[in-house]
Amino acid sequence: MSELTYLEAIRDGIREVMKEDERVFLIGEDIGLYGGSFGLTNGLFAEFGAERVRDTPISEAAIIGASAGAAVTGMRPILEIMFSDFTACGMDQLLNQAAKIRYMFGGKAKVPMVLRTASGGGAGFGPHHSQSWEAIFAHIPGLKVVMPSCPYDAKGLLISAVRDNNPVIFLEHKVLYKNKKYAQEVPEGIYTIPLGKAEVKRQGKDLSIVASSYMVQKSLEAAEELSKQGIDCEVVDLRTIRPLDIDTVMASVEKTGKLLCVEEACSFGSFMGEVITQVIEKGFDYLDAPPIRIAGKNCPVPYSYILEQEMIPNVDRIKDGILKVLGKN
Amino acid sequence: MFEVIMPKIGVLMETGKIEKWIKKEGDKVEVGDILLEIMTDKVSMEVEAANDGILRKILRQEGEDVPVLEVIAFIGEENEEIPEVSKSKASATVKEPEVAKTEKKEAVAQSAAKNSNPSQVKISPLAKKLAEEKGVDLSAVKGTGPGGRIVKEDILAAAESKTVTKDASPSQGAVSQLAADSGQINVKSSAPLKGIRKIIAEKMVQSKATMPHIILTSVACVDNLIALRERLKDKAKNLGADLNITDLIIKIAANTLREHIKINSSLQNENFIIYDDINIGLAVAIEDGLVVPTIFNTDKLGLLDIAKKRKELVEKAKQSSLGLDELNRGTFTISNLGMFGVRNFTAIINPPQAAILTVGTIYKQLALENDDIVEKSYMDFCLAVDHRIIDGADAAKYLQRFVEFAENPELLVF
Repeated sequence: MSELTYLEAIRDGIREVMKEDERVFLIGEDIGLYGGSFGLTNGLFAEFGAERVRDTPISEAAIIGASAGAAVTGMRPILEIMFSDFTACGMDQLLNQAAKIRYMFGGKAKVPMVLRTASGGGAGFGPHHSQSWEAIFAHIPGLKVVMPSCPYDAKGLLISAVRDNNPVIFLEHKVLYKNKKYAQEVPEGIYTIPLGKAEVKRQGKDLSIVASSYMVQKSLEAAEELSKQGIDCEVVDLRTIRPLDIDTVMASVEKTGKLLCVEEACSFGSFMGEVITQVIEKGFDYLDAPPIRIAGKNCPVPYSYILEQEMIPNVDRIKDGILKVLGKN
Repeated sequence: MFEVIMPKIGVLMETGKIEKWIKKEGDKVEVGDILLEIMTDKVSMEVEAANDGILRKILRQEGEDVPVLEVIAFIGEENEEIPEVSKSKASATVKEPEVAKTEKKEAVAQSAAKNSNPSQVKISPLAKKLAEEKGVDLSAVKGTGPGGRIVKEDILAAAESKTVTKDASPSQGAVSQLAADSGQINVKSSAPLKGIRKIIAEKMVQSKATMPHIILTSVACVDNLIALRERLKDKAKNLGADLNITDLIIKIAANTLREHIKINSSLQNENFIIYDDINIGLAVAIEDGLVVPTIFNTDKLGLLDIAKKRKELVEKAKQSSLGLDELNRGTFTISNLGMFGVRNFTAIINPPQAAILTVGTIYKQLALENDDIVEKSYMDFCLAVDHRIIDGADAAKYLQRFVEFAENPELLVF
């Protein structure tokens, strides 16, 4: 057991599954000798060789298409898309091929591939390198979407994703990657966290906050600050947004009667809209206040650091949201 | 734009409950059209439109208790702007500053309600479900959530205060409800109180909770009273009246009140009011409750008129056709359960009155008279008075004189 950053924990998970299963290989841009643009695959080229850690031309369509093909023929590729925004270039391969194949062959073909990519903003990377597209991926039947919030979860979820027989979109938050503040004790060797299982990261009785990825950390921070005012928030980390663990969300809402959803993506047509809809459909009678979202503003992520901080939910905005749901502001 | 106000019917009416809006917002109305039904503390009645136009805005919803003269709706032209609600009308009639404050709050709540869909009470789904489970009447709950929304805490608080009341005086319903919760007794039916039943319940609780009652019982030998009635009844019949013992008792009660006028009183807002008019109300059981129609100026009426009036009022009560003016302004109540063989009973004073006289059955007893054992007829009379303003001795003197009249009804001619 050692203290690892989010990025180190993911690398550790990749190394473990590569050791465990020789069908697993890595493919992506600059992931080999260079070690990936965030350095996540550092050392893996040396450890596993060029055959299993493959650099590609700059073509997301090629990376995704080749991975889907390899997966169908029995390999278990982990592909890296440098920034999640660039997935757009390979969308046809992803949405129209990888996501559909298992259904269209009546379950006889499987597509066990993991698309790892750096998502989210807050790093000053501008509109093309900072988006949060989980709603787009989660909308497509056939894809699973994972959004870990911490190193421990990231490793366990990565291993489960590789072992899954479906295309899994593994959205890593670039601000979490190297931040020592969020480093955690992570067990060595193999362990798994099941896909489709949320976790209550903080117990509370006044209000349920539902979030994923980096927003879980910000929500925990907001909850901690408001606890000094006697406000007791529960924080549910979805971990996987598809399959969605609505049962854990409902159990929390049944307890608190109040729901705040926090997400980094633009609010319009967002994934948390889906969460709130399901909560209302399943548990209208448990609600003691209208559920609300604290989400990204409806604009491209600005390049200006100041504007970017405005666009993406911060701790103060989450605190305002909590007070609003509680009817205290 | 014309205002529709909560009408004030009778001097004692302070609030009226909106039972039902017959017209909806946007409906065309003409003078005389029935707009809504209201319930006072005595009866339900219809409110008619006083102006032609369109019912533009309903400000107060069904189930709400509204102070008299407060604006409850607007009638106007299609595109006329709906004015801000002024609270002046309501507060103009209010003298005490405390009450004026309450009025202001009402007005605030009202303007908040204005912004919402008028057909809905603002309540969270959870609170609504809890209210149903716990049988909490939403019209009595003030919302403390954003924009006055009723939330979970409000229902829990209301349910708790309800339980306290239950514990204090467990009614039949409360007992069977508790039993139902513990699963021991099969419940035949369970329904929330409404209409006149609810009003009776509220008034009786108000009376018992605010008026310390003293209750005195006296016995009268009524042989002479019965004999007088026997002598008069055929003559009365010829003159169009069914004279019965109750009529004689009403007459005696009224004459006794004239002599002991302090009993003919009321305590209102720390004010001890003694009425000059003697208006005796007669409690009449009807199908779904109890009404108390009034015989006005009872002491000034002769026996024939009392008998005629009593018969008319009882018949109207049974047909539910009593007008509000026949239920108002009573100053004293008589309740008779003698026809059920009840020997005597105590009653709860009908607020804001200060006294109620109960009458039992005529029963026979042996008595010694001139060394002979004779059979005599007796009746028990109980008088309950509000001890805040009437003392035991006052009540006793009233009863003493009442019995004197009952035993010697010829005194009525003086």
